[in-house]
Amino acid sequence: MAVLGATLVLFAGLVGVAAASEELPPLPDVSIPTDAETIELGERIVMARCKTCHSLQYLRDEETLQPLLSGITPDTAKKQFGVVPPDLSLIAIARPGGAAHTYAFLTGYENDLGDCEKAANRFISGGCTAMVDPRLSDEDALAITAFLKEAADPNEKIRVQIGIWVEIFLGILTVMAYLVYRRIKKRELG
Amino acid sequence: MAEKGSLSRVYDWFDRQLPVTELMENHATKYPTPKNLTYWWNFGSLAAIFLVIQILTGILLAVQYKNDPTLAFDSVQRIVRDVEWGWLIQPMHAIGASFFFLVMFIHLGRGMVYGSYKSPRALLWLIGCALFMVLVIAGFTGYLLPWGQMSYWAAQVITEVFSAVPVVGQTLVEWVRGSFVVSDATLSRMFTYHIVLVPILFIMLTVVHISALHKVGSSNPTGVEIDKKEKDKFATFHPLTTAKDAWFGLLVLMVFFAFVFFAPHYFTPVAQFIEANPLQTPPEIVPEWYFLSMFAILRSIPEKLLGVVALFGSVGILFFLPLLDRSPVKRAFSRPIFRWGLLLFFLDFIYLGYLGTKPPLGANLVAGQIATLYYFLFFLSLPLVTWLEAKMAAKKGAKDE
Amino acid sequence: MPDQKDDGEIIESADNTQTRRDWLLISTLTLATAGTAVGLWPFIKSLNPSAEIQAQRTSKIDISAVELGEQLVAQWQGKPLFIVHRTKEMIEKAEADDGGTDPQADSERVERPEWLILLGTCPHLGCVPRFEETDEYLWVCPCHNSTFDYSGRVLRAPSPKNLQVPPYRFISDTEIEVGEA
Ligand code: HEM
Ligand code: FES
Repeated sequence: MAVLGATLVLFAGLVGVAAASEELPPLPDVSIPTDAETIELGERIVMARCKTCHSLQYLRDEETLQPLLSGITPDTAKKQFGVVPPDLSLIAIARPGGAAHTYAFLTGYENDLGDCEKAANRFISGGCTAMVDPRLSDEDALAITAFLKEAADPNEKIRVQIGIWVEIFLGILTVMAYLVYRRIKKRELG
Repeated sequence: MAEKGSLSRVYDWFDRQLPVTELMENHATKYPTPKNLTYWWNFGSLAAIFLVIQILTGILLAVQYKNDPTLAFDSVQRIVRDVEWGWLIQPMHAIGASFFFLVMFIHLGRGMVYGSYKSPRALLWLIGCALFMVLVIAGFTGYLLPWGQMSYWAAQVITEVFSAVPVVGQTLVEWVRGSFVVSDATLSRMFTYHIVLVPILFIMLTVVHISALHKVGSSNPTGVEIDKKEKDKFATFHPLTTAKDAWFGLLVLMVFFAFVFFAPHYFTPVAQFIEANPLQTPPEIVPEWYFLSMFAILRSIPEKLLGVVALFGSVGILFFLPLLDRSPVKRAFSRPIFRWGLLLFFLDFIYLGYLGTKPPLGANLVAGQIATLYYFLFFLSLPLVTWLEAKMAAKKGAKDE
Repeated sequence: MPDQKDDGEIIESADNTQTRRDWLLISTLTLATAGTAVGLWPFIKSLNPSAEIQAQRTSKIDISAVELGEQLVAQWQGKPLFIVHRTKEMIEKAEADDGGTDPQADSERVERPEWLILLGTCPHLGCVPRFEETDEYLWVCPCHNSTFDYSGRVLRAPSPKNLQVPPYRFISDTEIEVGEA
């Protein structure tokens, strides 16, 4: 367990270093909720508001099992916004900083448009985005982030649960195998 | 002994017609292993463990993966989301690649510290270098398959490297890609190399590598060969080494699975979660960590052709190590100059890796050039170092008289 | 020559080498074997049909467009599915007897008499029988000429069995769900 602990601390440290991005302002230090209720709230908001423009193609509709496509076709979107809004199923892990970036983006709109055509956002390189300010409350932004994080990595919970058992098992087996080795060593090498 | 059991009769039936016992005793149970090996000698068997992990998980991934640009990225997401336990198998393969490289670097480094490339193990070393090349090809071809932004642009840049070759450059690039840019044709061939060519070469070369090892025997940390007749200095491979490999292997697997379960995306750059877009390069392309040093060497040389020569040379020069270093002393710690040269080489290699993550500008560019220079100087100065060390030894010998 | 070890049991095997069997070694090996077995389980399971394909275990089929006396060939789990909208005469013919070599009452083969739903693979060697309305039979298999009556029951060999009835239920008058989840 000590080894596991040390390994985990090491990860946390290294992941932190890897996540630090340049040029953009530092990402807000948020802890993203993992409870089912918040995630569900986030899902409702995303389905009601975001899915009109964004697809979530790696998720499926529960009834029809079809990939979740956006309300408008990519062509129409391209005409309307100049860019196709990115798919959201992986967005929470597809930007430097991960889910913290998603939250930062959603809450990072500036009232002053500056040189931007549609909207100004502190967490987009260049400062401008084609997505207009969704004007989300802090809780809603957090709930959306929680849902998108879950959508991007849906197996996280089960993975960590099983992982802990696997590590405990391997830990015990490693210690036992070491004891076996020590005895053999004593016998063979004296 | 009583009547033989049916199981041992079956065994005998095989043993009469196949060298079962002979192979097992020669290569596993009774194979003589020096008693004084340290844990640095465990990394060969670790490499074998990761080879097995890669092959097993690779077969299962190949079953579900689709090698078509319109489906590849999607199929990886389907594996992770829809295939039972796919979320375990996919990161095992991806993280496994990193661990394979890590283990390989240590294995190779051990060889350099303990002069494992010298007689009688020169051929063994050469086969090892070939295995390393196969690993490089495996890493490169495999990285394209998920068809993420980083897959695509890394492949685009690395295949473009061949255009530096005079006269036939462009033809060569197209030959490698099977197309003008990285495309459907490229994905199909890289997939085929990755799942057919690479495993065949790995398995064949591993068998040859082990055969060569068992012909000449393991070296040992003293750097002095042990006479085969000194029976008391050897133990049989089983149970001493099997037990040691087993427990240490389990320890490493624990770390490996910690990554797989708790940080499966640790080595994956964020741009890999965006599907490849041939019309848009991501803001910065960084190769996987195990290619960073080579990448830094490529970029530190402003002349295109020379950069490419240095890139291939940095791996190729490993093959010439037995020729360049003719010193009879095997153990680096016993050599007054080489020991520091080698230490500096390892630090230099790591530093190059660090530079690989930085844009090659200003001070970083100069540092990269110095580090690259030392990388090659280390190898090329070995005849001189050997000569100097021989002089020093002679002087010391004269003094001692 | 046996060699006494501190706490180990001595076992002399055929070739006179001493193997030490103590609780530590046995439990370690047992645990390792169990771990390997459990560890391989996910690998084996991963070869199951994926969630995407599992979702095709059942299919909903709209039958409203099938004309009286006609057959619709739909797909279920990738297999052909015959959906026949039987006329009064067809039903009468089907109910008149219990078929041929594999007798079964028509009532056991249909949920609603006007809808005959069958798996479209010949029980002989798997060809898809051709819909061909004659006095005698309703299907003939192009491969080896087996024939099937108005209830899909075999009349002429070589098919040993009747056309199979898949599990299905009516969701409404115009839609069925085939398969069991
Ligand atoms: C609250 C619901 C929404 C969420 C959570 C969401 C999330 C995001 C995220 C995370 C990005 C990526 C930012 C980046 O490039 O790093 C993005 C970009 C974008 N979104 Fe949304 N979005 C939402 C609603 C909408 C709506 C309703 C529209 C359509 C009007 C829209 C249009 C766009 C466009 C055009 C971009 C591309 C911006 C660019 O690359 O310049 N989004 N969105
Ligand atoms: S397959 Fe239909 S009769 Fe042989």
